[in-house]
Amino acid sequence: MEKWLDPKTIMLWIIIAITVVFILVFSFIRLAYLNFKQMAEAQLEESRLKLEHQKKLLENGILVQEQERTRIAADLHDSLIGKLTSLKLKHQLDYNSDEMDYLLSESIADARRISHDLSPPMLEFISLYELIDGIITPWKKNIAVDFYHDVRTDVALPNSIKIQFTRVLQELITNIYKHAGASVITVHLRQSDRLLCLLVKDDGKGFDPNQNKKGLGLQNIELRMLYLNGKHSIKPLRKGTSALLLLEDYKNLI
Amino acid sequence: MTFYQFLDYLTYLSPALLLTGIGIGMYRYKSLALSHKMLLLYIGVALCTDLSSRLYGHLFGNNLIFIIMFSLLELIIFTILYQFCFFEKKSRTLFSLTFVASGFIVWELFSLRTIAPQQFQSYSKVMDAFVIILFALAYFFQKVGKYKTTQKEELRLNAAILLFFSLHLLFFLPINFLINVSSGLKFYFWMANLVVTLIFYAFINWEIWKNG
Repeated sequence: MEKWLDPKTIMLWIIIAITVVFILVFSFIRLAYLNFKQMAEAQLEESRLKLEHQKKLLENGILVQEQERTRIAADLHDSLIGKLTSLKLKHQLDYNSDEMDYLLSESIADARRISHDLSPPMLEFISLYELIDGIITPWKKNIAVDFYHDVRTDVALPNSIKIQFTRVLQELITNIYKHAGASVITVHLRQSDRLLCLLVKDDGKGFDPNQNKKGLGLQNIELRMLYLNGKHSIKPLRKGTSALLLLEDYKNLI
Repeated sequence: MTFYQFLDYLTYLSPALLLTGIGIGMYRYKSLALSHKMLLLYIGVALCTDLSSRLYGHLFGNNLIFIIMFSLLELIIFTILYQFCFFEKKSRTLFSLTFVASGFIVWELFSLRTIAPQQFQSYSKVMDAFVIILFALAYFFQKVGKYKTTQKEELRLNAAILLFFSLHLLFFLPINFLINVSSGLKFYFWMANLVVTLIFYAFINWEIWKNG
């Protein structure tokens, strides 16, 4: 008798086939379950890291705020209060109207500078281009700054965007001046109906992208761009560093 | 041309595909990864088995013993492929299982050497395919959560191996029925097996070409 006609052989075939199919089905279910579990865990971990990052950014925001207060206090103390005290002494000792006039003008200029530092004047009526130009001008005494602008729209930017962009630019220029050892800073501003883009480049020594630790300044830039829902990228070039700030569909913020 | 003649001609596609694969593999040999050199060895062994079984069958009539011989070689090649190329950590359990399966195949090789086709019921191919399926599943379990860091080609090859050997296992299980049943129905099964095998060989050729 041929083997396949033997019921025992057929029974064995059925048992083997069922066992193999069972192993395959069980393995696929287990694999799907493990995959799902891994994906859920990865998502949870991602959310946790995101929250942690946001918390750290907020903490740094507070720290930066405190630093800024200290700087303003020092500014007031060292320049304005110093000048006013000297004015008072001069007034008590010997009254010289020319000198007092000069000291009063100096004090007013200092107060104006501190006030402008805190909040640019006429923010509502001034364009981002003019604001940037205002920031750059005093720096030109210390370093060469090339400013290019390409504004292709009449859309007025809200104050929040103007102020955040100027703060970031101030931070970037200060960083370049302090750390990069650059001789030229190039600033490009481009604004269209849909896109607001600011590119700041320098020809300094750049930085090591593998260095994970970000300074307070960079974290502050990140926080500001996060606040605007914008994108930013700071990367080393062959010579120097480039920082790109990008805001898409900014009209939604108006 | 009858269906049987067509099927007979179709079987010549198998050595043709294997020969093409060997040609591609030899042409790109230097740039092949070890895993793909093993695949090249596999199609080389398959071609040798195909040609020698045709010759043996032509001379002596019964070439069924080649199924067992090929199972042993296939098992050894895929064990090396998985344990040394695919697995991050070698599996002792699967090594032991390969050893047991190889022992069983060698035992069958000697015990079924002279048996008549009517009594030929080998489980070597089933055993071989079963161990390879376990290798493929173990590989997937090792890679859970690491799919992003794993090469897609490797995952695709593993999936193809799993699919091919699952079908092969189920096909070669009732081998005695497929040899001896008088109905013409069995030729449809052989045809299906041939098509699946040809697709698998073509896939291996493509993998070798891409890897090289």
